[in-house]
Amino acid sequence: MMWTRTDRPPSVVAGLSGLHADRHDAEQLIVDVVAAVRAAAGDDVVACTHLVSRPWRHEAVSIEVPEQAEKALRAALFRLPRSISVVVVGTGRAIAGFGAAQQLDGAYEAALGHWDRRQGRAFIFPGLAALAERAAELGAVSARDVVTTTAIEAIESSHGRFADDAVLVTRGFVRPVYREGRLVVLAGHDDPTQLVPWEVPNPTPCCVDH
Amino acid sequence: MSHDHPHDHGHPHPHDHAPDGAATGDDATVPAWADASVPDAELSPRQLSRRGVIRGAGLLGAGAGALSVFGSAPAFADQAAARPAPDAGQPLIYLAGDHHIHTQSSSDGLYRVSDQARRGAEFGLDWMVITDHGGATHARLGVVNVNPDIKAARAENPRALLFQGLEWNIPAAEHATVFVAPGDNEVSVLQQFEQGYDGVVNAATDGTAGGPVTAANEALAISGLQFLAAQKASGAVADALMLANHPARKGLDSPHEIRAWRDAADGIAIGMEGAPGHQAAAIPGPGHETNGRGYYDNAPSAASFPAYPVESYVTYGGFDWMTSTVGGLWDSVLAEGRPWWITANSDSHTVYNDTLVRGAFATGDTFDTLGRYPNPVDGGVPLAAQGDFFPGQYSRTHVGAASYGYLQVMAGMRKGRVWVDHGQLIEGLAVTVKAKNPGLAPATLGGVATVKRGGDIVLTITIDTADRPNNAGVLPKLNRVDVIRGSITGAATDLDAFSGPSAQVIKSFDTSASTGRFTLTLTLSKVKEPMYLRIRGTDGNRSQPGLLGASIDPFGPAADVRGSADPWADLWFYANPIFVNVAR
Repeated sequence: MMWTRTDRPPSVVAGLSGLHADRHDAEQLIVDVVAAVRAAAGDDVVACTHLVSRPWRHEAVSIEVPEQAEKALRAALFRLPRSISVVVVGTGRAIAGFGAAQQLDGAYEAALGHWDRRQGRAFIFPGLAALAERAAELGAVSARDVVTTTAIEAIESSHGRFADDAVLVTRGFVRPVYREGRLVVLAGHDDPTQLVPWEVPNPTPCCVDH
Repeated sequence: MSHDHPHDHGHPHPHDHAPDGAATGDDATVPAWADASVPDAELSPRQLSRRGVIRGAGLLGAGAGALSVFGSAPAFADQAAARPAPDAGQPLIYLAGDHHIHTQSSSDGLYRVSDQARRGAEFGLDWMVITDHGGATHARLGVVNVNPDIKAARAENPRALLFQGLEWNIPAAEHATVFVAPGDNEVSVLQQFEQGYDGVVNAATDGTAGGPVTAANEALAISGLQFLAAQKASGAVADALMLANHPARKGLDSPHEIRAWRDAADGIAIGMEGAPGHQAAAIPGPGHETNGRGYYDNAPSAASFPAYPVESYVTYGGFDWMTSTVGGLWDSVLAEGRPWWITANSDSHTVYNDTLVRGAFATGDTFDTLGRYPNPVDGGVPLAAQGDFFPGQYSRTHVGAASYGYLQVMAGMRKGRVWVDHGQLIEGLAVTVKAKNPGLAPATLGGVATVKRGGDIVLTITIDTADRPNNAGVLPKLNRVDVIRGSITGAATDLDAFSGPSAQVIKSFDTSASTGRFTLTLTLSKVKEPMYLRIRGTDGNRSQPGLLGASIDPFGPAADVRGSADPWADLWFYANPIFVNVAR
């Protein structure tokens, strides 16, 4: 199964910016919107966080749904608080936006980055729930299964070639990223049969006396 | 071609050579291993090992001033026309230390000062800096209350130099070690500094690229460094230094901030951790599954410098990406011909497999009311989920000091006479560069050698290999030594540049069959442009092509894998550069 722009069913991508500095706040925005479109879109939702640069660096988000869920998506977007700006990219790369001007740039960058599959870190993607379930059960999932049963198209290891029967040690947490048109899990390995994703669920927090 | 004249920037201060005052270490004795009146039986195994190195050189008992296991200016006297090198004729003692150590006065700390000082001394350290986290409670209580403990630990460990410092929350950036020379004002200067310039105390941590308060916060950091320089200039403290800690951990230290700190106040901000602490964090086992070595397991965020790649968030052979990448950020800064030195420290908070746990507060007490946690108690259970080593147990920063004392350690650090190792990979290192044609000055680590245009230079590396098992019970083997060369191209035009494209490995020595003391030499012919040379070595257990390609660094350190990085099986040493100036 290949999830490329050309052979996927027509879809709509919304970019949103609330100038969030904290990734968790941006992810909560995704959760809220996706909850409202799930019924119409089913599992066919890709939602990403994006580090965008304007007006200053922050976490914007993007949400892609199939065309049949566009109406539900637009309804959810119009219900968002005024602090969120929105840019929607639809059929033919038509672009429309609303919200505070200051945040439109970030929403635009996220929407187009996702539409063109140049950038974005996927927080929700097709196959994620089943993958998390299997990983919770098994601790790790074969790399081949990850690529064939989810929207993830490839696994790349910064340590070079790995075994054909390698497993991805997901611990139920995988955040693939768009790189040059493909949704890719970045991993590393010491043992070529055990791929460890770069992004972990619990990065070590800063330790300061507040 | 014109270029920034590299020398002198690191050592323009007359204080460097001022004799120690009583309060700053004049009464300190030489390290026990160097003192012939201390019998072998009273030394720890590691001290005994270091004595063996000295004894092998026939120098034991000659007094600290003659402890030039590695004099910095060999065969210098016959060069009649020589302009003396900065270090000419000064014998150096290399003193092992750690400038990043936490205690119960840190909000995430545990140990008493005396615990850390004793452990560090047992593991062979000659100097240590206590660096509890800056913060509101620390600025009010901790920075004051830790001082009597430090003074007591100085008395308990007369063979070790114990500095008071703090871990500064750099406004708009990461953490840094800030420390001062001991003296009457060590507490008041540190406290004023923390109250005035700590990012957390002053709600100035935000360094978001392009953000509305970033410029003001970055400026506060510069003011803090200038404050320290002013305290030194006024004599309130005899010396003060700043070193950026775990610089690439979260991508917070941008290249322009690093350059700005360096340039803010001459000789105050002198470098960064080449290797972070927490080196036990990714030893495979329960609680370590997703840990990066050094707790380098973060990702780009809204606060990080946008251009840093995802690869910058992990360590390579235990070393920070800025240092471990040949042609990376460190080389970019060195190519300016300005000093920027690296160190390696423990960042010791809670030690892997240690059994001590925090004691209980008395009713009504908290960290905020006491400024510290109660003394630790033995919980009886090795805590394998912890990720640190004790000072000196794994990481060492070796500083070439003209003699034994607080000011001399600080001066040696400022001059870049520093090399670092992990896991006791080697016991001694001497590096010199000198011109083949007579009459020009040689140099050691951090220094500047001068060669006439078109002349030849000789790099000489002398190594004492480990002669006894390390703290993991294994005799480390030095497999390879690499020489890295970079051109000096002058001040950076792009202050956010982080690649030094001219840097590459120019020579690798196979040292797998070498034991004891051996010397490597490399001649570079017809030198026409200023450059620097730096070296690193490894046990050879893990490697991968460097991030900038195999033609730059064919056998570089390998990226450390989350939850699967045994630090004892991947050992490296790094030395600071020697600059080569070309005379017309």
